[in-house]
Amino acid sequence: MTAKTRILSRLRAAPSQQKAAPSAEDYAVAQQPWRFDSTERTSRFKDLLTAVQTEIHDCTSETWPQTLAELAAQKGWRNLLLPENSPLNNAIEQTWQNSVSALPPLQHYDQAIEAWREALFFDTDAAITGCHAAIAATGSIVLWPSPSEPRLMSLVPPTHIVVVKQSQLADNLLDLMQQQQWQQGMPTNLVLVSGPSKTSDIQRVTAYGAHGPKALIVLFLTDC
Amino acid sequence: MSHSHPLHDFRAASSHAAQDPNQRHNTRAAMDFLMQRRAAQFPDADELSRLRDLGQKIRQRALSQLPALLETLEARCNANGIQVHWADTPAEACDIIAKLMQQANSQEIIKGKSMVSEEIELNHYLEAQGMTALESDMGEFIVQLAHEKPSHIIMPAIHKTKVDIAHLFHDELPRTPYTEDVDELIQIGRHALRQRFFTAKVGLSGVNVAVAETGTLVLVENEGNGRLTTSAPEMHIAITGIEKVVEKLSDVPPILSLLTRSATGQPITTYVNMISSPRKAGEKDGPQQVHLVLLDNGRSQAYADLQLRETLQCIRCGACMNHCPVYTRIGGHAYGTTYPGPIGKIISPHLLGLDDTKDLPSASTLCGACSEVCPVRIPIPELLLRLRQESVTPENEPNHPHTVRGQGAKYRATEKWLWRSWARIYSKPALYRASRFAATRLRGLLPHDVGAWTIARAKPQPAAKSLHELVAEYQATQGNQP
Amino acid sequence: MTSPTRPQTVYLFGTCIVDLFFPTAGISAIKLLEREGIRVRYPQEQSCCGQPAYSSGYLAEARTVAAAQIAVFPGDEPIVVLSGSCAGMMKHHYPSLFDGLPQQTQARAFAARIYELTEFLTKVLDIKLCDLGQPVEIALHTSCAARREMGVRDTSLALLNQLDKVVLKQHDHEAECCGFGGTFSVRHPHISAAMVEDKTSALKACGVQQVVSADCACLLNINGALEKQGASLRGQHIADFLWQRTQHVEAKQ
Repeated sequence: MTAKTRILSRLRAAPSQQKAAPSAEDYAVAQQPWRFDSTERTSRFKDLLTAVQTEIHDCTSETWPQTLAELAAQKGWRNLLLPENSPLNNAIEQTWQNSVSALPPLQHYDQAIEAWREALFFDTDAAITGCHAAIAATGSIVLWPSPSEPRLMSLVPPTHIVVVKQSQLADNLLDLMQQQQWQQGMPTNLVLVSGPSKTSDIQRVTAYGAHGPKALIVLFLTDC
Repeated sequence: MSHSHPLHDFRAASSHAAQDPNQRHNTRAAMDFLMQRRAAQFPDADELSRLRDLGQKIRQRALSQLPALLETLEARCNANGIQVHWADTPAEACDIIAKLMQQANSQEIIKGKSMVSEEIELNHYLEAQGMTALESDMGEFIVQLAHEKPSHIIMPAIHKTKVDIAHLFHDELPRTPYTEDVDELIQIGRHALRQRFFTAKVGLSGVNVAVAETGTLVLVENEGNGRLTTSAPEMHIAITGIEKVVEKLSDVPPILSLLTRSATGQPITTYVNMISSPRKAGEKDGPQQVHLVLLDNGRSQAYADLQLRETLQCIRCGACMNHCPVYTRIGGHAYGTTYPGPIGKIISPHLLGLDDTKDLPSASTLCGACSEVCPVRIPIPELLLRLRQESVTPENEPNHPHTVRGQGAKYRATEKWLWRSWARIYSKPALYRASRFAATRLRGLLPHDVGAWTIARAKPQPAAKSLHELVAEYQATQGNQP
Repeated sequence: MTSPTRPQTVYLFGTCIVDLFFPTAGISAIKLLEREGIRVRYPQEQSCCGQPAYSSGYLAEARTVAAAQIAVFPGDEPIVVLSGSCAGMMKHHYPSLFDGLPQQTQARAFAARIYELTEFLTKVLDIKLCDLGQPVEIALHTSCAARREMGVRDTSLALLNQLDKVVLKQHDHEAECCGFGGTFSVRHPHISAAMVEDKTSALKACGVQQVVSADCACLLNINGALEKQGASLRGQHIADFLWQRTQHVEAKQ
């Protein structure tokens, strides 16, 4: 008898008990208190992120690449990692090309990690991604990594920049999950990011930059 | 019973801890902090109550379907490429993990945070095989460096001050200056572990919630080491107890809301990581292999009894111990079990046997502070009462279903006889009257020191006349009938 | 919710701790009730609710004592209990204690008649109190059973708030257990000692002249510790406290 057989037969030998699944009304407590009008939705999203040291810049679909270039110059990143192909790339590359001042070289995550692991871990200062959605109730950004936008981009470099569109902002996780029918097909890895990495393990004092990115920068597009 | 250390003496450890002023002060401050943080997250009593009802329903629903859900979980995981292993005992689980590490040609495993890995004493097992387990969660990293065990399930190093940690890092980590600045200490930890994340071939994580519907493993964390452990190495091994499964993906948001707000007083943790498969074709990173180990280790014993089954509703938030006056006085280490506090008292008898945990069920005043905050409404005091019953019911008691390993661990014929005598006296008015008379008339004869009671209190002084007598006198003066 | 109808007669269950250690609380409770025009019956055969055996895991022995109590309170009059802990035992645990046994129906009927004292005075009698005492600052300690099992902290507060010369002060970690827990205090004496130490420190620190509680088990614990510490502060049962401050008010006709 395998462990599986032993365990399952023990569980099946136990007295059975009928317990109904929760109803839609039951789930409502995870939704109704967490619905907002459009103004509140945006302000709540930003306030929660800012409270945990996220840097948020209001931009438009036109201005965000320039904001990014300014940040790159200001913060002294040695380089900036882009997804392999992404709707973001053209605008960034154009802006870099047209820039009069020197900007950190752009790199693309176009090889499997095995080919350039050391460079990613020790020589990559910042990475920029888009996002799948965002959540106002908890101040969260939903990342749905892909072949083009791999999961280590938002994790290993000490700075993560993410472009979030106003229109991607949902009220709460359960509404979002149900609207988008996530249960029909989950990706390899889905992550909710709600700020830069932190810990309170030392005497309950909060410190940032434990293992994940020390800095999270949101370029918030207000016009789309 | 653990083979690696002798039976823990809870009485000695807890008495000692209760008299340690530093431990008392530190734990009190930490628990006050966590209680305040949680309270601030639940300003609306109605929302909290309804959310707890939902949490209870979700967990009870899942438990009622547990064998079927575990098979569904396995099938979905397999379909997505996650390999599922089952382990009955800690030894089996450790063996599975060690073999997987060998398969990956790795002598080392880097760990995210997993209380189940503590439960199976994985680090000790691997070390005995000449392999290493490295903790990456800051709190776990700290206790590992200090050669200690975690004292709290959410904040493992809560018993240490920053001064303790400053000395620890300076003494144990190469080329590390002494600093008490918390930001600097965290950067030291980050730097020390960075290299290890870079080289690690195998990462181990726990699982906060496993979703049967989609074959998804959900992990919450603030630091990012959990994501690194599950994304950077070529093999990810996740280990969890069999009770951690929920039926549907839509069960996750309410459970997350209860968990993060109850545990650390956060609306959400920095990262919520949902893993459903290993690296797919075309993807550029992520583990090539993902393994899930499902551990029983006595959970099926709790499952077998409908009342004790409620123990398995736990989502490991730690709120119970944060609010427990006993935990606050003795700290986590005194329990000698992986899971301390109220949840520790009700789950450990199933994991280790009542005979190895026999002083735990009685170490409570049944004040109910724990069940008042439990996000999934586990009736902890009721379960403690039940375990006390099992403790004093001998194994050969007729008509008593033998549900708990170690039943009768506290059975003593003399104590049974004492309670029988007590019951006789208190159920026969003439006998009770005689005992009252003795207590009141002979009250001066009681010695000053009656052992345990008088450690902290003056000797109890019965009144000169009992209420029974005073009422009889009073009613006589009133001309009343009794 | 409408308040229960006002009975003519009630039973009083004193509790074994009141019986031996705080008997005046029982007399004060009787006087408070009689002044409201209620007839109080005190069966002399009563002893203990059985909780000490029950919470130690000795169900059969607890049942023996519980059954003896049930037999001593025939009829359907309310039973007023001088402790949240004992009231909780009788109201919430007697039914499950006799589940599936011949006395099940009887136990449930009995449980339905149970009231804790402050609950009865407030919710059934809607008692009105006139404070004739001296100004005083007090702290209220509520037993865990009263607070969480019976939900009767509010009724203690309602009574105390009627006394206009009484100032109620909060003490630190007010909701925390005093550390008695019945046999816990002798099975785990150092943990219990640490708990009562913190409780008494908090009570002393809030600067009151007196402690009041609706539960004598807690008072036995707290007063014992205060005495050992050489403190002058003491606790009194709420029945004694209320009666002493209002006793010279004329009885209702």
